[in-house]
Amino acid sequence: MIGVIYKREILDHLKSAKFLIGFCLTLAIAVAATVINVQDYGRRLQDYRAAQRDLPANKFDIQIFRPPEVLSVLVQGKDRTLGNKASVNYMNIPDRLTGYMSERSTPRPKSLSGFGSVDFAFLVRVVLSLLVIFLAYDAVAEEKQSGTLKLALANALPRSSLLIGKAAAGLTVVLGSLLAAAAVAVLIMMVHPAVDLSGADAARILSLVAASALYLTVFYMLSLLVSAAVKRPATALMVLLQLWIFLVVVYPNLGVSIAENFYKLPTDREMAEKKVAAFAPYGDELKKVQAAYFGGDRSQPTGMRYFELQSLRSRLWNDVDRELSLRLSGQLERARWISILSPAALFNRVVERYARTDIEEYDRFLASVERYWKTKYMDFQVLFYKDLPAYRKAATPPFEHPAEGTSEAWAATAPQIVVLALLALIFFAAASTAFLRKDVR
Amino acid sequence: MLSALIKKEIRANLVSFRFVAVAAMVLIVVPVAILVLANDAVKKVDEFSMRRTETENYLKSYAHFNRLQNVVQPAQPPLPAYALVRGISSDVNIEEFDDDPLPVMFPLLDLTFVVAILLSLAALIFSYDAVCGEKEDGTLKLMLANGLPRAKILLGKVIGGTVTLLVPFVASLILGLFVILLNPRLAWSGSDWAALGVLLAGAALYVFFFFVLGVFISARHQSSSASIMTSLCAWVVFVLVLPNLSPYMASLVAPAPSRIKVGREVFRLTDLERDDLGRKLQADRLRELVKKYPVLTERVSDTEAKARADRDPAYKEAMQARVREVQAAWDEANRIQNGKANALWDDLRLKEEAQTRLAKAISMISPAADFTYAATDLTSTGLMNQKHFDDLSTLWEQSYEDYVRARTAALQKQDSTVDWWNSPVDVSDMPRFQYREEAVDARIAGALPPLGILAALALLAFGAAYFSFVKYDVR
Repeated sequence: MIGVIYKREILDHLKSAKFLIGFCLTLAIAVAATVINVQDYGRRLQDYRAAQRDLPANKFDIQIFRPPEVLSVLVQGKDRTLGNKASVNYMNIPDRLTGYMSERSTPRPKSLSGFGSVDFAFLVRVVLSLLVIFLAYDAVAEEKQSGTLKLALANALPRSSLLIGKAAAGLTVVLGSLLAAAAVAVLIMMVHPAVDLSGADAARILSLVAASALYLTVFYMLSLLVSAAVKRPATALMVLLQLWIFLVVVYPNLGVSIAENFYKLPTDREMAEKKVAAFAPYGDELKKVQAAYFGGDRSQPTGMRYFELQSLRSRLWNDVDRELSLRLSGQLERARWISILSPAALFNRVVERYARTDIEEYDRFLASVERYWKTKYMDFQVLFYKDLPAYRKAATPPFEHPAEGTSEAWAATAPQIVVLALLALIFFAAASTAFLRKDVR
Repeated sequence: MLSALIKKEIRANLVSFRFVAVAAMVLIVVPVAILVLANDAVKKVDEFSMRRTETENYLKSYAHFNRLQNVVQPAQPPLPAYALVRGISSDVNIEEFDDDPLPVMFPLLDLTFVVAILLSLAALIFSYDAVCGEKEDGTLKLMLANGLPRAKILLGKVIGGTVTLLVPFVASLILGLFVILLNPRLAWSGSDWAALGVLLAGAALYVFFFFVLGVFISARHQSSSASIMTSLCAWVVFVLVLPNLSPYMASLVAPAPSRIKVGREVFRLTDLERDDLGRKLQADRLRELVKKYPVLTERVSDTEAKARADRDPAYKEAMQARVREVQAAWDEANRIQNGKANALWDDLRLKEEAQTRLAKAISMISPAADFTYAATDLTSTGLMNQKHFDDLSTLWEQSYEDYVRARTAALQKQDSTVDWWNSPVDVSDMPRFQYREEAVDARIAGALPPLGILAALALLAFGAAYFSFVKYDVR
């Protein structure tokens, strides 16, 4: 019996004008956004390679470049806004990345900012979630209004079968559109010469699509619930649109504003004072050694001590910077807790993680730079004072940034996935209860 | 008759669920957003004045000319309008990210966001069933049967709808403006209020456009469920997609070379090629010089040459001429190569500017972008102000360079043994960068083109709605 309902519902959806309009728009945006983003990615990759090849570096001052992330074609995230170059020397552990040419911000057409970016994630978060609402808002309310609901139930059709059949059919149509959009996007990516997808990337893309499916399911169940709970389809649509605006547009923003105002950060001045205080015990010694060194004492112990003190200073300053960045993460965490009930915020966080375009990835990169500085780079620089010929002969140790394993990304996003799944389940359960108790006359 | 229609529309809207929902949302969101932004603006003012004091303190004790340039860079002071409009900053600033990552994570709610995104959607939600909904209910034919002209019905619907939408918005704004009025730290001047007035007129025009668009779409559809689908598609394209895609389209049409490529070329020009040229010019000049001072052909060590110059004035003169010629050769090489490099940067800048202009022009098809440009230009937080700021900076930099040149020359005259470039100097008479906001009439003039396009789009939509409604089959 469910099968018959399922088939009828699917046919109904596929024939409807709203599905056709929505589906065409989805595909059009998927194609346009991916073509543009993949070209942009190709350009950024070129810049990265050129920077790596040509920008001056020496054994002492080492330039580390962050490559653009291939999955940023699908989920832009913060990939292009957070800088891509770190300059490392023994007097400085960088606490942030700059643009390639050391600009403060990445070069990008100015009128672009202020508006978000259009990518696959945007398509799912905004366009497909709207499509879901349109396909589902009249699932129950419309049939009641037109009188077909009581006819269907008069045939001794169990209410649960009817609801399950409807939900399954609606979800099939929605997820079919999602898969079509994803397939188009991935195909365009694979055709582009700059894109080289590994097995791990494929796993991440699949996870990304799965998370999108879950997100859309939440909205579908919510629509079903509202459709079963209210009397008229027009009311259902209004309620859903208002909920959508609130959940997708307003609430995540409001959460941020609130977190920002209730979680204070230290000012520049406090930071500077902390840095001075951290190095205060060694200040006099540094002055002495510096005076001796520039006074002409180039003996090995003096040079070594001078070097040690300067690197110690950068270490201590880095500890202060780290403390700030921890507080920043704390603030961010607050904002996320506040917006935990917004499926859109959860979805964003999950897909950016899968695409490696989130703040965490940026922090991981900076952590790799710090690790490199503390181990390989410093071991290498010490050679200059201990064994100069060996230093001259040795090559600069290579910088490594191990890619995050897919399983780690899964583990990190598990809480969000669980909340999304719970929301979907709760909404479905509520929809069934509402439907079972519905007055269908 | 028209007033009766408008009254009816307003009454019908006021009791509808959608009105209650939109009003509730706007009444919460706008005051909260203004409260948050006003706090933020005060914080920015404090930070700015603190940074300024610290700079002055630094200048009192450590003002060496070689350090000065980095310390006295022009900075944009926070404007009173920050309490309403965040504005278009040149990009997400990495430094800003470090201070405060949240705005990077999510674009913050401000007045432009509320109008451009929320109110436009609300307008469509109010108008998608204006024609086909009444048709479905059967009230449309009843109305027309009473001999009402269609134009009047349309006008009544549009005016009534826009007014009902603007009432909760203006009410919420007044609530929010109390925050600004009650906060003595946010000193709003008359021109700020004037700019806000024009901004509100722009918002009304914007809402009007979307309302009319909804009516137009409604008059093209028989069923309201198809109408809302099309309306929302139009909304997504106009508000979300078009402004975002325009920079990319512009970069396809008017490509600019990548900065890093230009940087690489400049490095080659001013480093490797400069050295080659300098060596060549030096050799040429010395060859000429040797003809005048044959004594220079002798190869002697530096110490010997110094000793000989002390003894022999003619030799000293020859050596001095040699130093001059070498210096002249390298100056010449630097001048030529720097000229080439500057031409490259200028070319890049021109191309980037052309690209930005094109992107802006393309995005102006979107009413959301038009409204954003108008709102940000009115409040000095947009592209126009960026240019204004750049101009002011350039002027200041010139005066700063003149000052440094004059001052070092004067100091050099006083005492030529000191390296004035690296010694502390009293710079209390140095020109400080002063930001002056553009006058309100200039800002309004700047906002007129986008507002004009918005008005044209609204007229166009109204015409389209009119013709569709006149031909609408009401049965």
